[in-house]
Amino acid sequence: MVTLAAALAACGRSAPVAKPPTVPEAVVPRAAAQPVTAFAPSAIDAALRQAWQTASLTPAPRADDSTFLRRAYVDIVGSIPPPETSAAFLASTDPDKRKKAVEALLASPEYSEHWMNYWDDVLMGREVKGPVVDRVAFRYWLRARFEANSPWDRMVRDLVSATGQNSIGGAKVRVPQAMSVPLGAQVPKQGDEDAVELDKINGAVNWTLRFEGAPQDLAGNASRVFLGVQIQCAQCHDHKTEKWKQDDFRRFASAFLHHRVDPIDRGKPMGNMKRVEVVDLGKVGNRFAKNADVAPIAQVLATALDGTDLEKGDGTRKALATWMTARDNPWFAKAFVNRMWGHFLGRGFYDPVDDMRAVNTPTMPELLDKIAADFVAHDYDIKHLLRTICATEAYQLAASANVEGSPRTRGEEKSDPENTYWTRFHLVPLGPEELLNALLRATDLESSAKKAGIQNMDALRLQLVRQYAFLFDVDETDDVPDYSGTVTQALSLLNGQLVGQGARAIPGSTLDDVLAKPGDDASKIDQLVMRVLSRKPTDAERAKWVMYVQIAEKTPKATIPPPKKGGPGAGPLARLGNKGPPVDARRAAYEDVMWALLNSSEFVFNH
Amino acid sequence: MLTRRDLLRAGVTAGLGLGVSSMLERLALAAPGSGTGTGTGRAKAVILLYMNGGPSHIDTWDPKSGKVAGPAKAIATSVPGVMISEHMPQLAKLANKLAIVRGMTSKEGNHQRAQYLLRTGYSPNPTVAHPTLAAWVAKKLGEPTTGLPSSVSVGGPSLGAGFFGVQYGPFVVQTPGQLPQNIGYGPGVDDARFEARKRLLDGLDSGFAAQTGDAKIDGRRQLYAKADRLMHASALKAFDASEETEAVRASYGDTPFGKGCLTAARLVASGVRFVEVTLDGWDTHQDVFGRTKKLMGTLDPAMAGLLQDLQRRGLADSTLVVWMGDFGRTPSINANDGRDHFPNAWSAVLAGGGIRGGVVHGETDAQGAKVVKDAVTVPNLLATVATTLGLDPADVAQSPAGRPISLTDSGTPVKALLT
Repeated sequence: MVTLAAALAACGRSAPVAKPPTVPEAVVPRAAAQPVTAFAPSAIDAALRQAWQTASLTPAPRADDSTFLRRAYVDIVGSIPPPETSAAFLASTDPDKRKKAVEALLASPEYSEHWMNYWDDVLMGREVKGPVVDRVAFRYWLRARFEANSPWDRMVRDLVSATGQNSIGGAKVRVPQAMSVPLGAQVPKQGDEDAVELDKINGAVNWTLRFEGAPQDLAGNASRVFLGVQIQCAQCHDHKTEKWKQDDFRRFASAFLHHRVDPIDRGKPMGNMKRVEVVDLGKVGNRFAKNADVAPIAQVLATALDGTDLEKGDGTRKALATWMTARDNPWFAKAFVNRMWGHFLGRGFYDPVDDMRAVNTPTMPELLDKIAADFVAHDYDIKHLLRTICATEAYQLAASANVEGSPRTRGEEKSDPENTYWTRFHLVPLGPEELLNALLRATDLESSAKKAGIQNMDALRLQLVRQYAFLFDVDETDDVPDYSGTVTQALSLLNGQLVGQGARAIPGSTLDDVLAKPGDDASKIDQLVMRVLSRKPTDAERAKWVMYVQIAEKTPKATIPPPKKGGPGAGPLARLGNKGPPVDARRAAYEDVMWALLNSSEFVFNH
Repeated sequence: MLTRRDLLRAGVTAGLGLGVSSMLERLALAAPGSGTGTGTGRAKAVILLYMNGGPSHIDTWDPKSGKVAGPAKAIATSVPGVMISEHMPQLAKLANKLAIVRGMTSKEGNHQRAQYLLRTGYSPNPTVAHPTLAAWVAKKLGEPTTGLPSSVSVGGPSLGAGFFGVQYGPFVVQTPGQLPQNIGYGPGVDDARFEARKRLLDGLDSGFAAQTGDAKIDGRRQLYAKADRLMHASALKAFDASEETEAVRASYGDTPFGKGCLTAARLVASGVRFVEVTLDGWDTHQDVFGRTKKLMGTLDPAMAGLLQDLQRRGLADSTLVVWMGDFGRTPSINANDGRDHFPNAWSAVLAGGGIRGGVVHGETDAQGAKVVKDAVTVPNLLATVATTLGLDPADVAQSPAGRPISLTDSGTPVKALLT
């Protein structure tokens, strides 16, 4: 979700100064060790150039500045750039401006908000039923980690071996059915009373609690997400082609059974969180031995995937966490680097990003190894990794597949239709959080809502998320290569309130603001395109849309009445229905342009 | 005759651990003229009535006496010797149309896992997002010519289409009996203005498609065209139940579920292949008798109304109605007068196209605690449904990770249920 800071920034005001987050000692980054292997972005570029040459591939041209800035915003903070930022960036002649823009994004408050949403989605999926899993506490925990740039190994160690209290109690905050639209608005801000309380508990335990009914899935989730190892394939029986056997799975999963869940609140409080405490156990919890599905796992000794005995030392869960995140773990660093590379470049070295099985042939595994080694040498510093990826040549390339000089126009060269070598930027549709953030920023809908007398922005945002969440109810592992969207999603953009009201020239809206400023039609078109697509229009586009507006103006039609209040589709934005002056033909034509921009593929894709 | 495709499939299914005998049995079942496989192919559409939360079998279709019984009595039905709960009097009269499967059994006692199993035929496995039966139907039978979607979920989202991709997922209608959300123009928009806007959008998208040369842009434009067709389809009125006479609407009962069932009948009449209607509230850990009675008060007129309405519309033989939920509920009654999750033994009901009516299949013991005769697994139930549609339950699709995934998890149709 968009943060208040982001909303304010979009209105052209300065964001409130963020207080330094209170971070438990455990997450304060260690003093950086001396890098063992320095592996600069230029080394990645050299490796890729070599691969392109070997495969006779020509890279796409460098993306222009406006495309790059939008891409960096979408990937790093999950939104589109505010128009002032775009303008300043385009005007700047600083040769290092791309690097500096990335740096500013990594340091922004939206960074931790976005990655909280990302990891909440990956680790927790959709709504978890029952009173024990506190999603807000979990999200709060994640955000604090990203605010502190906690090293990845420490974060995973803390998750896997988490003990302590799950929740501060109170009402269970229900998330919309599709957790893919997250609820940043519900996470307390630093300094809030709830935030102080949340600091006293350990939100991380909620990940373990999510799998309380099926601890074998906890093992599968942990190995898939953190190690890229699909051990859960072996859950039911052995596969001939797979390295891992059912015994391996059981021994590994057994390590996830060494805890107890002690109730703090008794009974089943209807609609309220039930406070519990996760406690380490020296042996497999009794309740697991009694569960018929889990009993075969409970009977074996906990063993890591390389045979390391996990039942020695200071507790199995700690031993497990230590083994998973050890510097010599063959999968841990690679799995994270692969996932992040996939996030930024549209496709991992291994694709899908969480499947590093031997049968899943990777592209350039030696390059992945080197970047992973660099990530380890930098103490699993996430921002360092993102900075490195964003500085690569591959991340600067245009999404074009057939511009001049590309494979299609040069007969002698091979093409790479799947774009496995990242010779061009992968087009990826915006995720639900990104699309909603982008729509809110482009339309300035929150400002029009304020002008219409809607005071509680958090509540409005929440209503919007709830109303639109189901539209994006897609599966966690949605790996369909083609563009996939639903008719429901298309209808919501074509006819729904978010775009419909957002495209209107009502007080406070982007369009109203642009029309109120002095300047001719050409400059107004320029501003609209900048506010929605974060770029300047081409000369042809400008001429076409100016003509559209001017012809409409000279063709008097019946004035279009403002829409009726309420009626079908009444929702959180219905109050905007009858606000604003009757729309004259000129304003109506501008609304049409705005509507088309918001519905365009260029807006809806990250490119 | 064994074709090359059959042999290939045989190799694949054998690899999945399916015995040779069951495979031969399946080949022997192959019906002539059904084209796509072994199915009987009588049904052209499925209406799934999904009982969310797991209905108590003992308090609905499989009544018992003694300690495990509730206060409700069992009543006779139109099939001699078959008794069901007294709170389903209309369905009791229609029992000669129903195949009551009392031998259902599964291993999934957790809601989310069970709901996944019931919709896909597979237990959840984090490496594969299995397509639902609805998604298979949508993919194999294709889109209706009326411009309506292949698969519709009335009243809320169902499970997505897994690795088939969202385009095979259900079109979700939020409010049963009403036109879908956002199907009409937004504020201040009429036909002319919508056309003008579409032309502007088309110009933008052509430019972007030319610039990027990426097929995904075409994919998105096709999706928009599909949405546009739906907006303007004359069959769209199938979603609007207010067209029906008062008598027809009343026959389903004045409940959202009843409206959903009526919508389902109308959608099937307009070519939709798979409609899911959910009745929620069956997770009766407390007050199982009171709540189940109330739910049956909703279910009985709606499902009976649906079966009769399909008959009236001439769709009864070509439409398969499926009643099922997460699992059954414990024979023992807990301290809160409730029953807890019980996947061991439970009931499902089939009626209509390709299904034998007046049949009770399977039997539980005196407590309803164990299937003692003709156990039916979820994959077998779904294989039976697939077969009535003319689909081959062993049909295989490649998962993104390259694994062959069959329509059901080695399910074989229950012959005794098929006509």
